[in-house]
Amino acid sequence: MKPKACIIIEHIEGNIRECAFELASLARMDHLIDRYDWSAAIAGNDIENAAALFAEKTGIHVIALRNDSLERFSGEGYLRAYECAAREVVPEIVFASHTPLGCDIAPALAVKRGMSFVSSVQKIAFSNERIMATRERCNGKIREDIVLPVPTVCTIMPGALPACKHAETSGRVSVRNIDIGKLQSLPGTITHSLTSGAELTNAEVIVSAGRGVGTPQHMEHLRNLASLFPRSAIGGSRAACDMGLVDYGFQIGMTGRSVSPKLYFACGISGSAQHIAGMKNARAIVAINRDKNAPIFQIADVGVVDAIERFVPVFVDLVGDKKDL
Amino acid sequence: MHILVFIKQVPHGESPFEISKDGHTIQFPSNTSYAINSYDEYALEEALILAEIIPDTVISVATIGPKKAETALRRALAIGAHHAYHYIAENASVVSTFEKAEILAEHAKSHPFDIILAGSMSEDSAHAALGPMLAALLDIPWATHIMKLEVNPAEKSIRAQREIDVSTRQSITLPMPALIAVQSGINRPRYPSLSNTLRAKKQEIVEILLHRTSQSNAKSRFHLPHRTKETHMLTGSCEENARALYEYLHTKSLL
Repeated sequence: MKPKACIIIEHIEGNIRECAFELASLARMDHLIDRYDWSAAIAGNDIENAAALFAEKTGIHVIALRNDSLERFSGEGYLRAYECAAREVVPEIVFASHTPLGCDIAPALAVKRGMSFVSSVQKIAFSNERIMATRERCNGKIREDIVLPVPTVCTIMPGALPACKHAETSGRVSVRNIDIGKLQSLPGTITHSLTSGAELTNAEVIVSAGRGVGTPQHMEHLRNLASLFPRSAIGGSRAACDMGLVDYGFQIGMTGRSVSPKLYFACGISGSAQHIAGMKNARAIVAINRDKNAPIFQIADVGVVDAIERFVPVFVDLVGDKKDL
Repeated sequence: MHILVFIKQVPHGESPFEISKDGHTIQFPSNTSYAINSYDEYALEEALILAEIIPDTVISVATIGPKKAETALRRALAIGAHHAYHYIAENASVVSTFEKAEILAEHAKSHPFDIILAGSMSEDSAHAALGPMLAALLDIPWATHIMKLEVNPAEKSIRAQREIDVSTRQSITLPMPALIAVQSGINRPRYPSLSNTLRAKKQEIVEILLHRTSQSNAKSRFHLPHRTKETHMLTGSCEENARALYEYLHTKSLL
């Protein structure tokens, strides 16, 4: 009998998130496709349609874990549901998405099931009969290769894998009405807020701030740089937003916006996977960072090792002079 | 009310490092500067904010780390934590997150708490695992990536808001005791005053020597990321670099 691999299908109010379809592409990978008996689990209350959609698109057998207390997400409730699935399937490996909801349950599932835990994986490869995962540390400066222990719960970064191609034949759906007891957590509703920052989507040139910008005063240099270009906008990394340099609506990255401008200036941005997920489709990337080891330089077209407050004013003046000629 | 805050000391983000020849260890030079993991600073600040609102709140901080991690605890005391516990492990970087969760779960079982606060992840190892692991070991409710926290001590309940993405949040109510892992940006961490920094130098830190050796069998190999592009690194003076960047953008019709 083949060992089992199980995918956790993340959804918000029954809408399956893109990252769940990315996980399904693992089931099509050479070596992995035949090595495992694949299934996927989705927890919730009204999830039969979502389960059918996932099974149809991916061809994977979906176990729908149904209970009225699972209408809204709580770590406690969804953990109990996935424990039910794990007891039924007894997976050698569980794949979940490395998202706020995925990270809420995956480590706890590993503990409850006595499985190892490997998180924020960027790449999965197969060699010598083993699965090799590559993840990153220290904001992307260091890559870590790990041979996945058995059994393991593994979270995969959104965007790291391609979305699964449409399957030729649909997978089965098995609905389970599960008993999860009484929950202590009382999960509330999901609120969607309209944030600022829509202009980032249409901007041809984006000047983006990171932790390395340092102080709000230095944002002036970024505004001057942006003003050299028509149809430009200013964005920032999570760190820049946390520091109050940029409004959260203008955050670029995994938990923010995804952009694909013609030209992207990464100013004082180290280049964590979190950020790169949101800007890797920029056509040209210019990175300015005083840390020569910053991983942003690995994906940039042009790299300048310098402080923002030193380099940017000199560049802006130079362009101003050229334009005057 | 008792709040436990678990913190970790990490090397400063721009610290130089070396990867050992066999790829199994990351070495930082002896002059590396260390700080409290920024996510944990937000957790600590959230505890301090709660203590300002709720009378008779006691904040205890604990860390697992080498002797030098004491400076992280001193800083926590300087900004307002009441008690500090140091689980000393010189080889803390090879102790797995699960083993750390086990140690801290034992700590929580022998100390009173209503809320455990932690950061959602660490800046260096970035597992984002400790909080939910700890909650699972203690069998208490939890919520991670929290961007808003309200505590009702009379009802012994916590109302929190988690960030799913920048425009999507979910509210959740948990009874105490519970574990809350905060997302970065939930607040603005304060700085210690000089007088409090001096006072904290004399405060007691409870030290517990860890004798266990790591049972973790997952062996990692570290390496630098590979270049995905032919990056044109500008290495001249500031003015030369500015001219070179101008030429590049000009030839690409971007400027």
